[in-house]
Amino acid sequence: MAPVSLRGLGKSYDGQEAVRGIDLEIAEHEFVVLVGPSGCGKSTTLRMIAGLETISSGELRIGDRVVNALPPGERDVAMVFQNYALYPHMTVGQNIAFGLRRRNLSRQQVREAVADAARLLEIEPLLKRRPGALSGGQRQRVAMGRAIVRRPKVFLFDEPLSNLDARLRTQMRTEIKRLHQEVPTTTIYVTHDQVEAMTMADRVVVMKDGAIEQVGPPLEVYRNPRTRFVAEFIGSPAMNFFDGRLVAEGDGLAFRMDAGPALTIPPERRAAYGPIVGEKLTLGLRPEALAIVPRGETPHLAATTRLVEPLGVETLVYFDAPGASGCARLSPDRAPRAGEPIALGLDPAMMHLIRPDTGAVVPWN
Amino acid sequence: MIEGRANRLGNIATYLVAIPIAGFFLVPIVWLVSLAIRTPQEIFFGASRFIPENPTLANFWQVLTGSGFLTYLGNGLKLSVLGAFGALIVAAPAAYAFSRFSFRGRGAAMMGILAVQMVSGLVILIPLYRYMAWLGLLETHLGVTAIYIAIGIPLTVWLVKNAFDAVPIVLDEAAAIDGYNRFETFWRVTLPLAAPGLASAFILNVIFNWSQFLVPFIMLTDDDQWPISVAIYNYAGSTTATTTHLLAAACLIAVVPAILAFMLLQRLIVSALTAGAVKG
Repeated sequence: MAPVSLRGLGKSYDGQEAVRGIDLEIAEHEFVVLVGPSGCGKSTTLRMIAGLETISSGELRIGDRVVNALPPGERDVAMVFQNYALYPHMTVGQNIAFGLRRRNLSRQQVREAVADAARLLEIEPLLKRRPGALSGGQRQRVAMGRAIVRRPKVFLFDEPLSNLDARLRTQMRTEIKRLHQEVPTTTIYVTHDQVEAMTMADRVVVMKDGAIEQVGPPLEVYRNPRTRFVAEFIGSPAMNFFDGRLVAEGDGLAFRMDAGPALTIPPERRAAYGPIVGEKLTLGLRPEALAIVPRGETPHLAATTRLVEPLGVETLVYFDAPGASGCARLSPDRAPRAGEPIALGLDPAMMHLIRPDTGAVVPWN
Repeated sequence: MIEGRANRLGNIATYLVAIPIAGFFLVPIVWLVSLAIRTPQEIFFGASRFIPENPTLANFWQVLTGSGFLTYLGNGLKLSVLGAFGALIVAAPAAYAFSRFSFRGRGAAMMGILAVQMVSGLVILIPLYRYMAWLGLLETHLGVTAIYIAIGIPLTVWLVKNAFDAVPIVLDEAAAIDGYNRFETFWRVTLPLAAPGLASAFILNVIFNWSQFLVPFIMLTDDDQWPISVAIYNYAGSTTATTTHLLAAACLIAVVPAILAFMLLQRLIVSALTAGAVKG
């Protein structure tokens, strides 16, 4: 177990920068998730840490060693691949033992280590089988067994769950998390699935176009996204956006949407937003910041329900309003039916103001 | 319905083409069988008595027991297997490099190897003879084996490269993280997984070498050294008496192992030859 430190890490192919200037300090025992859309450089970053890609620029430390030039086997990392990468000609037991056989352990020690790993992952009955005879979930466990059996300094996961069906994915998610609690090894986990990122990470690293967009604990990133990209990428369904302008209203401020409706800015934000009065901005509101207003009150948006998705505990309502459309997360017993009019109120306490030109969220706290 | 009909038409067309081709190759073999089981007297009936009245296996017996025939078979087998084995050993590292390393001129080198394959053996036979004489390898199995290896390399490189390509690179990566160096990974992961492809390349080489005639004919004059193909040729020319029935039996014995090997292993061979042709 060791901290991992990325300083100005970059990767270029034929002059094309795939990853640039990654600065990230990962603490011992920490579970960090790199998340972003495909092509954002998250897998390349992971593969540089593993030693499967050469590092074009910057410095990579595992523990107190600079490992830039070390081959993968000498970095003391273990990796779980997206398609498991089990050796098809070896049994499950041999697969798990393969990495240990390199390390001058006695047969007895290897056998015990394999048995321990198998017990931890509940794959003891499978040890004599070959990977071809296993289901996707079982293969996933074997791949994890192969990783943990070596007690490496760092675990690397490269989209390990994306080949599994939805139910198994949820199950394995919990399992990986449990495993990390039992064997708290420094873990770097790559996924394009923001739900995985949110549920598993101690810290989320959102990446875009080869660079880090934002780093922070999941809820922090969720509540205070620093850019429109992060706001849109983290959270499902995605944040709603309304274009408009910040205007002075009496002695306060208000956001006036291009489509007409206005939203009063909470007093505690006035100071921060003062300098940008009059500018064109985008209002960002998560689906849970929208609610049906009680009869008699004036709604912010008078909309028409387009689509209703009951999820049990909540219902997602997709609506169209003049000049805007979006999604609201409502309680099931208050949800309208498709085609019905809906009067929505917006919660200003949960608002984000975004500069349309840079995509940056205007900070206020 | 329409599809079924198109299918049937397709089948008919396939058979229309396949039957003449099969006939083209089968008729001589059947004729050979007919001759091989005749008594010397019946040879003179020619095609008029296709199925002999007194079929006999005595010809085979006579060929197998007489005049060093087993030695020739043994020589043929030895040269074929050694040549195939050598080709595999020389081709495997090249194939691995083509499959796993990216370097400047990789495509050109692959095509270059294929271009070598296109040079007819006849064209280079005289210089080859002189080189072999200079190396002192005339009249030796070593020399013939070396030539077999050289002839076999291009096709073998391509076949084995395909076999290596079929082993996912992510397994190499997994082994690298498990702490194995490139050679160990090659030895413990890539090679075992490519074994079926290697086996079919080996068998193909054996079959090709088995049917080699010109090279051993030119390089070997001592009849103790001859493989079966050369021995039969000389056998045909060495006697004045009617030996057609014996010659036919000898030819069959020489041809059948190759045919059998191909028929038994054709699935394996075809899959190796077409591997990578339709990448999913």
